[in-house]
Amino acid sequence: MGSTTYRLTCLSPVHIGTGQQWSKFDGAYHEGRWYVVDLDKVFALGVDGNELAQAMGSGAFSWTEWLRGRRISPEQVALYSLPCAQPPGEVYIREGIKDVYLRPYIPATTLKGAIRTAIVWYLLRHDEQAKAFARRYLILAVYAKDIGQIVNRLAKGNRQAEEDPQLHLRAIREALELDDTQEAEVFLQTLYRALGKHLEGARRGDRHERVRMRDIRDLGSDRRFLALPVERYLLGKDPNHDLLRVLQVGDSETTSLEQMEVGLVWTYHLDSSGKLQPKREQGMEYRSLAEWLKPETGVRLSLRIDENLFSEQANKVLRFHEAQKQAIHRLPEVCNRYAQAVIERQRTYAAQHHQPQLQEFYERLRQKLNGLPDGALLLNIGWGGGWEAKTVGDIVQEILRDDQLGENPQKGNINPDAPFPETRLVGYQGGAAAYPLGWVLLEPVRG
Amino acid sequence: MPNLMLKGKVIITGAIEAVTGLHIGGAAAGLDIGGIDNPVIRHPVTREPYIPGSSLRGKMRSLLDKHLGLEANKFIQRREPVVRVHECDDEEKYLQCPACQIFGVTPGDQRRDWNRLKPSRLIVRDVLLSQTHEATRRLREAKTDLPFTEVKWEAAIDRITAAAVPRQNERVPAGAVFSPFEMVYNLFDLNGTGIENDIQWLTHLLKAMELLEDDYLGGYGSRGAGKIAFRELKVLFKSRAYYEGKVDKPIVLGEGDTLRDLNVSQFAEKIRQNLGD
Repeated sequence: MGSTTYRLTCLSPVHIGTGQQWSKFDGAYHEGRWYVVDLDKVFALGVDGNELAQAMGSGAFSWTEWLRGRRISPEQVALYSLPCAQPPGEVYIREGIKDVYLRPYIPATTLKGAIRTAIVWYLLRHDEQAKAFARRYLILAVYAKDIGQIVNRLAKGNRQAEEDPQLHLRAIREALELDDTQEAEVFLQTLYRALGKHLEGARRGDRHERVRMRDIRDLGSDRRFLALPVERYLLGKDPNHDLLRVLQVGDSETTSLEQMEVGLVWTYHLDSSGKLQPKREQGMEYRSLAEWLKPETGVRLSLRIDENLFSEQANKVLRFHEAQKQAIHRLPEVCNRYAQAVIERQRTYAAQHHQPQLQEFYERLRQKLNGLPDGALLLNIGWGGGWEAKTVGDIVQEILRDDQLGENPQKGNINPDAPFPETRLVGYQGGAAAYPLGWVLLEPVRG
Repeated sequence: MPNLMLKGKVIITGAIEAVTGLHIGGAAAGLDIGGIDNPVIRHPVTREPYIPGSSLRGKMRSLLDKHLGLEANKFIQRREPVVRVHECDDEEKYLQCPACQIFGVTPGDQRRDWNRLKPSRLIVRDVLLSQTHEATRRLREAKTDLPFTEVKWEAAIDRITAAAVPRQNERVPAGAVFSPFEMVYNLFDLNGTGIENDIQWLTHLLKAMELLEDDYLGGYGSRGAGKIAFRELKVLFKSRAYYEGKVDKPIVLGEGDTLRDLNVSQFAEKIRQNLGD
């Protein structure tokens, strides 16, 4: 497959952030629009900078009032403006990504990240060995501190002994209460692989392959990188050997600001009766505003598979196996299987917790998925799609449940059967709850 | 003693348009407060971003190697990340290898006895941000994060916890135009063996340019950056006779706004007709 052009259509609002949030110091709300103020334009009108700084220093500063007091219209000083669901007040507005000419677009990184998640999920679902690796790794991560303590006790302060694979094997057997030496050996191999080391090398005395007690103790402790060993197992040991190098995704073409608006997003949570409701606590409403691409916005982009990386010559170095190649060559199917799993779980969750708007949206999405044309695919991208649409969470939950990893509070304090996550972000339209964020349809453009 | 004679030069000029954001990495800002993680390379005097000829040349060679199915047999770096390139290690193969002939091979002990080595045919110059193009004027007026560049924030999301790790990349925005670019392709006659192969291999250079348009230049190419297009192209031939003052003007081999507009199949015949020997 060479380069394929796709048309991307937003099925629900799509917010892809820049990391920037607008506050009341950045813009003005006026008659249903949010104006981002361009200070260069303000100063071009002869405004005294000191006076403006003093006004901003007062707690009650508002650009709307400040401009009105000087008979300046927001249009005169706006970098850009967008329709806005409600006056932001003290609520921050998440900026949506645009190019330097203020034209929104969908970055390739966003799409590729979503595709990567789908591929990881698909490979885990269809490769028992990989799932077994993930299971062992998660068990080791839950028991990492215990294993580290046992290593410490057994080594008695001897640094060389601390790094002895045989001692690590004993610690694993003890911590996991394993009678079977063979099973403990497999866990030991998993431990070394998860830490990016070669067990055989360590046994031969290669100092580069040593595993320290601290490495074991910290295994899986950083939640920002918990999935990394699983991704390396499935996709490649480092970025140079990563399967996703094969897939070249282009930034989308740009669209106009007309396709963007500031929308209201409310955090929903389970109330005491088990209903999914807008979250309000101690007089505080958990709502936020985001610059999003409106539903039905369409842009084109290209996807290309670099077949060179599957060539016989490249195979000598990269060694991608058949399941990996299939995952790339059957990309629409892979993404749609993942989307189906996410949609099904979200739909069930919305039904169980009495949230009809979300339930209806997912019902429509399910119907769309079932009727997709050849080569088309659904993805969830950007902010607001929720934990389940960004992770391989269902597989992790299965492992937690199967291995009863959450049952002992001292070993992780996880209850795999509890509703998780308890919150959902819900996009509003016309003042009413309407949809989850981030669902897009990609259809190949024929001809 | 080898007798090497320059028989002419093919000069390809034009502009390079960044179709998507372009990131050709420069020196990291180190401990600068407010410094960016992944800066782009900038001209040391003007501080404007530019495209190093080495980036252009290296990527075209790599793509041509792959297109011709040449084995990456030479280690540039043996430790991780291992870096391998193609270089013929047999003189007979070298004589027929367009990639090694156009882009050259490094001198080495194993080539000490070769007596039919030629210099690389290709010179690729650095390409500066256009000083005259409308796109540069627009870029100057745009509210960019840094002069002429955007800082794109991204986040790596953990696929178990969904925890995000932000990162930032500096890119020359899509639409920027670098010009003029110039590539010089030399036609060398070694010991009177003629330049027919050199003439024939010119098409491989243009093929490499076409392959580059369908690939990417610089970093982060598999996730959106680095798509470029060659524009406003002109291909000239300056013969030996031209440099000796016997011919007034270079011969125009082709002209057009895109690579497709050049009539490449006619280049060889036009060169043969205008060698002026």
